[in-house]
Amino acid sequence: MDSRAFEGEFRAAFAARFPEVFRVVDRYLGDASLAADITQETFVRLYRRGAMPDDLRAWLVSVALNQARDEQRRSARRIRLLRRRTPEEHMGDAPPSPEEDVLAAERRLLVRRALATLPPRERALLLLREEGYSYRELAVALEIVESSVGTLLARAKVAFRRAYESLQLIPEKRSTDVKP
Amino acid sequence: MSNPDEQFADDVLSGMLASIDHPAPLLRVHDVIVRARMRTKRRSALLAAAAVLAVSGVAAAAVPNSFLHRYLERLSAHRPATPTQEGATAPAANDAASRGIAFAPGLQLDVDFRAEQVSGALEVRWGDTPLVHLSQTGSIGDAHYAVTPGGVIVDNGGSTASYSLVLPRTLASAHVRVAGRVVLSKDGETVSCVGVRADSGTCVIVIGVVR
Repeated sequence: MDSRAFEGEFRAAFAARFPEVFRVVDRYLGDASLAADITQETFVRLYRRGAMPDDLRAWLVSVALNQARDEQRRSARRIRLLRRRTPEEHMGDAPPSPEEDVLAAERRLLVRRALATLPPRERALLLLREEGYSYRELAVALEIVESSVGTLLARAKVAFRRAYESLQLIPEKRSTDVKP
Repeated sequence: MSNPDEQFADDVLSGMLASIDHPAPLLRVHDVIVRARMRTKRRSALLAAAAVLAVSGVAAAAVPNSFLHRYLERLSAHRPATPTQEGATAPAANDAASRGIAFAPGLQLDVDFRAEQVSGALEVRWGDTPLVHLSQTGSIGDAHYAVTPGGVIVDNGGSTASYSLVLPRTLASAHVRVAGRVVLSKDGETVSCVGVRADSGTCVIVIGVVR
C-alpha cells in the first residue's frame, strides 16, 4: 500500500475509532488515564503495522483489550506486593465530591464493581456489544466461535445483573457513612 | 437460553455503562504518528548499533593479541583439551610433537607438572605469541593436560616424555612447578630458572632428576 494512502486511512481510522476504543478500555479497566495510554499505544501499533487490517474494529479492540488484560495482571501483582486495595480504589475512581449526588456516585461504583466481577471475556463481550459490535466482530475480536456469541453474551448480561444486585445488598463501609 | 427477565433491559444497561464513562482525552493524530515514527527510528538505531557491535566484535576477534581473540582461543583450547589428552596417551611414536595444548593465559600463569619423571626435560622459551603452547617432544608418554583458570596441570606420572613450553613474552607473572617445586618463575621483568639458560632466554629444565 502507498504510504500516503495508508496515512490517510490511518487518520480517518483514528478520528472514527479513537473515542470508541478509549471508551471500551475505560469501561473495562475503570481507569481513564490507563485507558488513554492503552488506546494511544493501540494506534501507535496500527501505524507501525503499515497496513490496515481486514477487520479494523475487531483488530483495534483485540489489541487494546489484550493490553488491558496484561495491565490488569501486572497491577494485580503490584497490588498483591504492595498492599491490599479495594477494587474501586484500584480502578482509579475519583472520590465523590461533596456536591456530587451520593446516590448516583454509589450507582456508578456498583456498576464498576459489578463489571469487575465478570470474567474478562464476558466483560469484554458486554462492553463491545454495547458499542454495537456484530456477533461476527465479537467472534473475531475475542477469538470465540461466532455461534456461541449469543449464549455467552446472554450469560454475561445475567452475570452482570446478578453481581449488581448482590452488591446492592452488601452494606458499604465508606467514609461518607460516618455518623456524627 | 437465559431468561430475559434476569438481564437488565438494553436501554437500562446502556445508561448504567454510560454513567461510568470518562471524557475521552484530547489527543491529536499527529502526536500518535510522531510517537510511532520515533519508535521505528529508535528500533532502527538499536538494530544498527547491534550490527556495528557484531562487526566490531568480529574485527576484534580477528586482531591477534586482542582480548577477544585471546578469549576465543582460550575457549577453543578448552574444547580440544580432552581429545588432546587422549592423544597424549595414544601410542603414536612419530606424532609426539602434535600432542599438547595451546591456550590464552590470564594475568598470571601456573604450569604444574604433577610428578617427577624417570627421564625427560622441559624446554621453556619466550615467544611473541598471545598463547601458551605446551607440547610433548620426546618419547611416548601418557601425560594428561587439564587447563584451569590459572593455567594448566600436567598429569605426567609415569611419563618419560620431554616437553616444549612456549610462554608469551608479555606475560607478567608465571610459575612452572614440577612436583610442587618451582623450576621457573617470572615476576615482572625478573625471570629465574633452575635449569640451563641460553642467551636467547630459553631455559631447559631436566625434570627427570629434579631433587
